[in-house]
Parts: sequence; C-alpha cells; structure tokens
Amino acid sequence: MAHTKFHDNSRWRAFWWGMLFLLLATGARAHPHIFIDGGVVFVFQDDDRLNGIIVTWRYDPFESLFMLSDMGVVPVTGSGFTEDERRIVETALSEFPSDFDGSAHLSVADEAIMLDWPRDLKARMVGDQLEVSFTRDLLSPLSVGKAPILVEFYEKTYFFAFNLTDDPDFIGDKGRCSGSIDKFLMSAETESLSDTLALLSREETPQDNNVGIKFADRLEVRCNAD
Amino acid sequence: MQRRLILTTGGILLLGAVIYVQWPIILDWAIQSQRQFQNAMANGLRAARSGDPWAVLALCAATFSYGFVHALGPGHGKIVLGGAAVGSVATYYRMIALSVASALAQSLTAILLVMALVGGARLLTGTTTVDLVEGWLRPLSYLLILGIGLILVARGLRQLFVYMHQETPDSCCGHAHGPTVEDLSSTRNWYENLVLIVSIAIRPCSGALFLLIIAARLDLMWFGVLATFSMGLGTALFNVGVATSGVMARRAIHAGSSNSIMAVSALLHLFAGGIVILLSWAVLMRLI
Repeated sequence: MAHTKFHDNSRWRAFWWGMLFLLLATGARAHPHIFIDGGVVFVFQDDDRLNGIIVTWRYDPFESLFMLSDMGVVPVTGSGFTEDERRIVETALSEFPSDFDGSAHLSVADEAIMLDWPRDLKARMVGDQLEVSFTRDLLSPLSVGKAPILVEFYEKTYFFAFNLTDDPDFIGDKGRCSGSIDKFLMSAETESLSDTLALLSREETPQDNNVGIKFADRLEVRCNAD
Repeated sequence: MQRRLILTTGGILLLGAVIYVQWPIILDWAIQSQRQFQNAMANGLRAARSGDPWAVLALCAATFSYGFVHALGPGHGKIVLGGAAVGSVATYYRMIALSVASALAQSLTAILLVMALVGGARLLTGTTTVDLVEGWLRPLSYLLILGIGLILVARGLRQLFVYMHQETPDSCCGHAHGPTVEDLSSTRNWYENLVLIVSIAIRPCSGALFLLIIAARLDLMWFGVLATFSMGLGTALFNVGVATSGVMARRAIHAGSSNSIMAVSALLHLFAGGIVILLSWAVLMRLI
C-alpha cells in the first residue's frame, strides 16, 4: 500500500515543521500606530479644590512631521515655530474631534471625575517633536481628601500609545500634593491581547472599545490635609 | 544523503523552536525598531528639506531598515510567499525573484497611488489616500489572496486524487503513470506568478504611503520615490528569507525521492492553502 509511506517519521517531522513555519509567518502586530509622550499638571484654586488639569502631549517625530506637513508648516531642523506657524498649528489642533475622550482619565475611589472640553491649546516644537498642551477644567471642582486621585493615561482604542514621561506638576497646591507614576508592564494577558491587536489595520477598531486602559500608565496623586 | 537529511531537518527544527520560543521578544524588538527607523525617516526628510546632501542616503538606510523590520510584523506578503514556497515546486531562484518582484511592485503601487492622488490631482488629503488603501485596496488584496488559497487547495485535492488512483513508480516499471508533482505544481505558470505578485502589490505598506505623502508635501517626491524602493528592498530581504526557508522545508520533506512525494506535496498544498484561506477569510469578514 502506497499510503503506508506516509508514516515515514522524518517526512512527518519536516511536514510539521512546514506547518510551524507557516504559522510563524503569520505572526503580526499593528496597533498602536502613533506614540505620544506627555504628562499632567494639576491646577488648584484658592479654596484648595482641584479645578482642572493641563495635559501635555508630544507626538513622535514621524507623526509630528506628518501632521505639520498637512498644515503646510515644517520648521527647519532645530528651530521652533514662527509666530504665524504657531497660530496655524494651534488653530488647526484646537478643533478636537467629536469623539475625543481625552487621554488623562481621572477617578477618585473608582468614581470617574468628569472633565470639560479642552481649551487654551498651546503648541511648540521640542526638538523634532510637536508638543501641545491644553487645559481641561473639572465639571465640578474637587475637594481632595484622603483618597488619592488616580490618573490613567491612555486612548480607548489603543490606536495611540500614550506614555507618562513627565513628572506630575502642581499649581496652587501650597506644597501639599505629590504624585507617583506607575508605568505599564506587559503581563501574560496583555501579551496575548497585544497579539490580537496585531491583526488590526489603521482603519479597524478593537472589539473591546476600551482596550487602551489595559496598556495605560498610571499616576497616583496624594494630598496632605492642611 | 540520509545524514544530510537528518542534519537539515534537525537544523530547521532547532531554528523553528528557537524562533517560536523567542517570538514575543523578536516582535517587541521589531516594534521598537520600527518606531526608531520611522523617526529616522522623519529626520532624513527634514534634513533633506534643509538641503543636507547626505540626507538621501540616511533616508534610504532608514527606509531599508524599516522595510526589513516592518516585514516581521503584520503582512499578507509572507503568508502568500510562504504558502507558495511550501506548497509548490518553485526553485530558490524563482521564490527569490518572486519575493523581490512583489516587494518592488508593492513600492511601485504606493508611488503611483500617491503620485496620482496627492502629487497629481491634489484633490485628496494624505489621510484620504490612506483611507482608500485601507478601505478598498486591502479587501481586494485579501480577496486575491483567498483566490491563491483556493488554487493551492484545488491543486492539493487534485494531487491527492491522482495519488490515490495511480500505481506507484517504484512498484511498477520505474515511471509514473499519472502527472508528476511538477505537472501539478503551483507558481509554475506566469499568470499564477502574476496573481501572486499583484495580490501582494495591490495593498501598499502604510509606512510607505505616509513617507510618500510627507515627501510630496515637502516637494521631495523623488527622494520619497528612492526611499520607497529602498523600503521595498528591505521588505524583499526579509521575504526572501521566508520564501527560501519554505523551499528548504519542502525540500527536506521531498529529499530521498519516493512516490510518497506527491501525497506529502498534496498535504502541503492543502495545509498551505487552508491557512491562506482561513487568514484571508478572517480578515475579509472583519473588513466587510
């Protein structure tokens, strides 16, 4: 019987290797597509309540060039914006998309803190990176008690990978507050999730519409009582 | 011969095991490297805009490297080339030629697309160009890849049918009475090669599109064209590795020729075709 020749072990080994090879050839990752470094500044008002935050984003150099060339603004290497260029960039970027969900997600004791729409966007060049910063007021000023304020720095679909690279800063806190950054570390779960996201192109969105939180850097802010 | 076969198979298995175990680390490295080379591309473009005479070399080096590491990530080219290499009788030279031709054709598609849509008409924004590729050309590409999978499976079934109904040459008069593996092979006809190249080329790499769009906006289109072909060569280098490994694996299976070659070849066709169909179908379902 010719069929028995299939049981030749060396052929089967090589055959399974062929299968393994094909499976490896399909391994892939896509999301995230844009990388943003940044941080958060906390703004307190006179009555010691947290009034708002200033969020800073620095786009990666490639995305910076792509965005700026779209606006017809490309500063010479090593120089900043002219006044006209700065105005063009700030005007263009001040129009946030309707589905904008921020990047700094605040909560206290698992209770989300609602933020107003971004305002007062400022732009500048930092090396070859476009940096923007904008203010988001709290819808209701927050009295900071014993429970820490948690900031999760992410974008929901993980199209953008946000990294908390700037130490937290405080305005008007009278030296009462301090913050500590907890950088995202890959686990077995996120590793597997990362592989799934790999198969998505720029136009596709993950099934979990809040998948970004799983890759978020976190910042915990604690304030002492007077 | 036997010793060579054992050494080759053992080497391949060991390499496969090492790659399999280290795969997450390799991919992490590829992602970080991609990001660095992408940023180097931005630096190259800005330097070119500033009139640096060496900028084109730096840019091409960055795009070549980007093309290579990008090929480690998501991509339909590897699936198609790997499947064709394992499930056919194509030689090393043919698979190398197909890998290079498809990567350069992919670069050419990106160039023509951006020249037509951004450089020429200037009717669409860069983002619209990318949307067009992702929204229309990507599904079309996977439809063609699905076709290649079906061809592989059909050939596998045909080989299996012939194998089941023929007398074995060894047991008869020293020659096969049915068609040989070569007779039933894929990637033998020019039009099948063309379909393979088109299925890869029709969906250009988004990195190349972004590069060309930026280059066009900065009036550096010819820098962008050179850099895109350089990126294609980088991708080709990786895909040549995939395709030749596929040929090597298939040859290890076929070494020590016997009449079971056709049966093994049939299974390889079915498996390679099945994988190609499953993956392309999964992507198409997500896209539709």
